[in-house]
Amino acid sequence: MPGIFDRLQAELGDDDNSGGVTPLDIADLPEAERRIMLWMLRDRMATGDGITIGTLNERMPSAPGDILAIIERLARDGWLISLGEPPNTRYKVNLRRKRGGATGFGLWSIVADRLNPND
Amino acid sequence: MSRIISVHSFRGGTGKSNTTANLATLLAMDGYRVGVIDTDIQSPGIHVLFGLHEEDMKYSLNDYLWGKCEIQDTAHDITKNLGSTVSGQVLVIPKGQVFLIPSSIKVGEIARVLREGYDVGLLNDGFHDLVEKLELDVLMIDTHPGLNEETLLSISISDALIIVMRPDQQDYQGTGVTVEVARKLDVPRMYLLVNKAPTILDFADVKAKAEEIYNCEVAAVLPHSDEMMALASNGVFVAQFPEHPITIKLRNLARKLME
Repeated sequence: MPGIFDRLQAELGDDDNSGGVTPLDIADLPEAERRIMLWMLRDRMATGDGITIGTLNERMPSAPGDILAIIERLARDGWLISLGEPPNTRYKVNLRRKRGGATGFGLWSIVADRLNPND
Repeated sequence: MSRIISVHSFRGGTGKSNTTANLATLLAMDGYRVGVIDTDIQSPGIHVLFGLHEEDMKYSLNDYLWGKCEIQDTAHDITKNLGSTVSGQVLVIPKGQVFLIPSSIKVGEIARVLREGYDVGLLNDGFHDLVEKLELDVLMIDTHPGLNEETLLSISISDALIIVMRPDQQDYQGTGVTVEVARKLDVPRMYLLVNKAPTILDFADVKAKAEEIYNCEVAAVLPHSDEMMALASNGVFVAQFPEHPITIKLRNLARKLME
């Protein structure tokens, strides 16, 4: 029987990481990976232009020792976006775009059409 | 050091936006620079409490998400709307400032964002940019009820999460889900706020039971308030009732959040 996280995940989309990940995906990662991903979500530098492994090592409190291998694996599996060329590759979290949909939109669309029929 | 605080509830109607507006106002009264961002894109409402009208919204969060402006362009300084007056006497003038980042209240724009979706990464950049560009002490995120992308993101990046609930069986179940998700996202500090409690209840008992069920601190149990109902979102409660018992409890919570 699916648990609450499975049901929430089903609401947010499939498990294919190629289009990015959601915080629920991150919540299910092993501890070291989860800590890095959450830290990168919360860090100003990492969210903007991305962060190099060297800077991540300097800034992240008690970063895991095998951070290089973890980052490379996360990037390879689509959890992180790689920007620039080695050795200055920067990484940022590959957050999945919020998908549009008929739910909710349908009602608002009808209301919009009724209020502004010429738009 | 700046902080990001999310105010969330699993169900609607718990008083989440009122709580956000009240805490933001109390923090400004204590001298902090506070940003409030309305991420309830499909049912925005907190702008009403702050007295921001549609015609005064040059840009909204939607404009930022569509690339029409920078996130700081969407910030409206609504501090002046928080100075309450009674019989012509100004009671409260915040020492700090409150900036509101509203979601669009134009029906067509709400429909568009629901139809097209948006870049969640850009929203995260926007949260961090706001803190930096506006030199905020606190960014408060007013979320959509339930758990969706923007809610999960705001919980993930928060230094503190306040979960607002009513003493109601439906709220009890939904709150459990939110608490479980927040724990998996390693939120550093999490508080429950039991709101709109009938005054016939034993508040100490409500607090003890909620803390036992969720293994989470209940920061306050607030009674149903006729004064707040009568205010009918026509202003921020703590600015209108600065010495009310509810205001005092919320002030304690605001100060706890800044410890």
